[in-house]
Amino acid sequence: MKKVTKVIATLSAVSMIAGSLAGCGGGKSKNAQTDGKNFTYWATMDPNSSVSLGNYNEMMMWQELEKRTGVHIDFIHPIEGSTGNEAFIAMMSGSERPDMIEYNWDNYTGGPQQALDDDVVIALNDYIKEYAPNYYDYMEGEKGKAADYRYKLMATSEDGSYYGFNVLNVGETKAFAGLYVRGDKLDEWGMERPETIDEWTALFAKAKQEGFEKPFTCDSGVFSFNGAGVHSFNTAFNVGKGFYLKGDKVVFAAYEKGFKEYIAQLADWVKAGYIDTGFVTNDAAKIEGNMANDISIASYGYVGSAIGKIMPAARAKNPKFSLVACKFPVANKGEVSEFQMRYNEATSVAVGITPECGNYEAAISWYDYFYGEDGMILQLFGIEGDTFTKEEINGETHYIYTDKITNHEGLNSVSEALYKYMLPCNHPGYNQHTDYLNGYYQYDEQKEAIKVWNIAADEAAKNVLPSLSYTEDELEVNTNVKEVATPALEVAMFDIILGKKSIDTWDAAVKEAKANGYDDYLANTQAAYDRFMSKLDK
Amino acid sequence: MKELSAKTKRPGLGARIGDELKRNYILYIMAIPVIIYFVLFCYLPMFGLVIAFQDFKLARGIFESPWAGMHGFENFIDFFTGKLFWPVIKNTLLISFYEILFSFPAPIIFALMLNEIKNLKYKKLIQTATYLPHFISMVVICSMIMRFFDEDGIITSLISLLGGQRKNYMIEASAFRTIFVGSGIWQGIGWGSIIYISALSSIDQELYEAAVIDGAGKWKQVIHITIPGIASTIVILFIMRMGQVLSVGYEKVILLQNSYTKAVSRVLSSYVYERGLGEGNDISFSSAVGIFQSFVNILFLTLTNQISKKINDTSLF
Repeated sequence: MKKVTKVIATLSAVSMIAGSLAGCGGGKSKNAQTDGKNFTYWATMDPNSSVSLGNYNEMMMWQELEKRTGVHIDFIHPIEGSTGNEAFIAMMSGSERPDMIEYNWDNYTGGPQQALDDDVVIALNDYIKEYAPNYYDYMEGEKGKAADYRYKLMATSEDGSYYGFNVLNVGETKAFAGLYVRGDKLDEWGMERPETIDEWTALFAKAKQEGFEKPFTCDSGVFSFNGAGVHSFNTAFNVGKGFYLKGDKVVFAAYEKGFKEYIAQLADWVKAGYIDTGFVTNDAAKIEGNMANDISIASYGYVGSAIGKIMPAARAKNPKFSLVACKFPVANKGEVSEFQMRYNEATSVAVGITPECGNYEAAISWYDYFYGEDGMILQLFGIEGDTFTKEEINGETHYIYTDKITNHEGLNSVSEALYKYMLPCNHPGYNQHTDYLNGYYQYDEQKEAIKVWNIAADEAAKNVLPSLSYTEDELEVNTNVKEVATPALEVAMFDIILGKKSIDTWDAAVKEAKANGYDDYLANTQAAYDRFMSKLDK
Repeated sequence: MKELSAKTKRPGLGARIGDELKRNYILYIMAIPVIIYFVLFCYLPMFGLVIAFQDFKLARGIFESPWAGMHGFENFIDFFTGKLFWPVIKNTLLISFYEILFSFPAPIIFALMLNEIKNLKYKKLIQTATYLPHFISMVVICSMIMRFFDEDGIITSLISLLGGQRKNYMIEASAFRTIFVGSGIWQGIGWGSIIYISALSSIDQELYEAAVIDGAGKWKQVIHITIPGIASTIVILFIMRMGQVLSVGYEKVILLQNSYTKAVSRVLSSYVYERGLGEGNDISFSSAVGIFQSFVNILFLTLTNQISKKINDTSLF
């Protein structure tokens, strides 16, 4: 027995060391008293902010806002590293609720409508006209009318209730990702940017000949039927991704005729050696490596995280290195695809007011400041003379970031510099302002890319679904489908692409997916969409 | 430990406790933070298990959420009758079985081998090198594994050098368990060997000297002195390992899995994550699965403990 004691002692010593190494952060949250001018505000800190700040109260934007409005906010942040969803669950299970919650309400089971029904947040309908005139104007006033009330449509729950102040994407730019290709090589070979499948094939053949081992590289999401909005070569076959709209009808990409042709094309390219067959397991780092090391000539990615990241890295070796955006592929040259990535007018990231808040009116009019001119400038550009300067260009006022931001002294990137002082993106208020994007994107290739990928922004508005909420029963069905049928269909698709199976097996795979619940999933999505649109009748 | 040292019978219980407290009060004071820790973070949260029997609604909390149907057992019944019950159990048990078969003895063999190295500097170097993977974040480990096994990864290259096929092993469902368990050994062998090395160092050196005089070779020494010397450590660790039969960590599974390997890699813990925090958002269901997992684990733990007690008199409790 004695030996056993010793073993346990050593064991606990070892596990204690391990425990202390793992470490743990303490959550501290004090709910200050609400006297009408004092609110508690729960938000996950942006990772770019937490590099330099410990709390939003240290941020210039919030300090200045307090000066201007006289309202003091006590921020409550979840422990760093916990994702929005986990952190939200932890907060909700706690004993005290904050006065305001900033959250992506799509992640709430049942969506924004359920959050209202469960009394997590209050509906603002009775208040906004009087206490949030700026927000009201954008939703239902002149500006709302000018935008066909699409902001209101996207920012309200199923029964038409305002569940909070939403992120509004007000800029012209609605797409931030697409296909890109090595511009310097195109120039060298005297080629144009490819538009059709034939032109892409020609480019891949040339690249292969020039020693590019895997002309096209990407991850599985770029090819998969899954992932609405992530378009690649499917657009040339006039078919979208995931669930999308044809008129009022929700359709599922994998069911469409064009989708089979699209898979067949990818399989042909794999056979010819044009596609990186590691796509199923590729991650961002692998793709960056393939692009930077002349292994691949083209890929799919975001303006910031792909082009903006690979270019500076690769230019150290090859100063000519450039990545330019390609239009979404079409069947015949000169056409414009109706598909592209498109952010909706409003996202479900919103600041909701909770029933615990003692003074709705004060809280609402305080947050409405962000939707006025001064508030927008403060949120997106900071303080004049400090973080931005005004410039008149062609009779229009533009906001230009100062060196403090663009040189990001002591910090790793422009993002980290921006988020040290303000919250220009993914924070409720006006997002994707053109001056912000121009300040944020440092390369001309990036500024051009958002134009190239956005040529069909108006067309795409007709086929992109709004963010939908499902009922608990629907959710259970959808989850079951995603657990079994989705990976099975994906494997069937990738097997064909990788040449392990013939294209003839696709129909059977789709049939099986239907039998395994995809029909129900599609029907649920249609029902959710109908519910969403029904508020227009009210 | 307390019980063990206080096991002298005779005076009344109160007197005994008082006496014990007086004698070892410093130890008890030192133990207070640990006791508080366990009460606060391990025992109090157990109350939350009731949500497995509820139709838990975040907004209503534990006290106001309605009870689940079927006398509160709806979540359990949903799980047991669900399509994924058997696949998940099978995956978990298989991975666990391979881990006990291969990963459990690996650090023991490694420690025995290290013990035979006489060059101290070399020994330290090897030890440090094998600890390293333990300290690398799981996310990094997994992206390394994916890189090693993809079509032009180093291990794939090695396999093809030895006559194997060059392909992306990460999308081979049949290779998943081998990769999972094998990389687990790589990650844990150094760290896991610490306790055995410490056990080895406590073996009386005179025994070896006596054995040499008796004419025992290296192999005989290992068989007759070293292994019996650390046997109780091995047994205790084995019992504790058996208490984790159904606990295959979810982080690595989720980080390594893709559509191809999902069917063989979905284990109980990753299923709990998928359902509770991932797409499903069904916290009650997840808790029910979690309770089931703990229940089976305790069962295995007690069973192994009893068997071990019977056979060789070594046991955890």
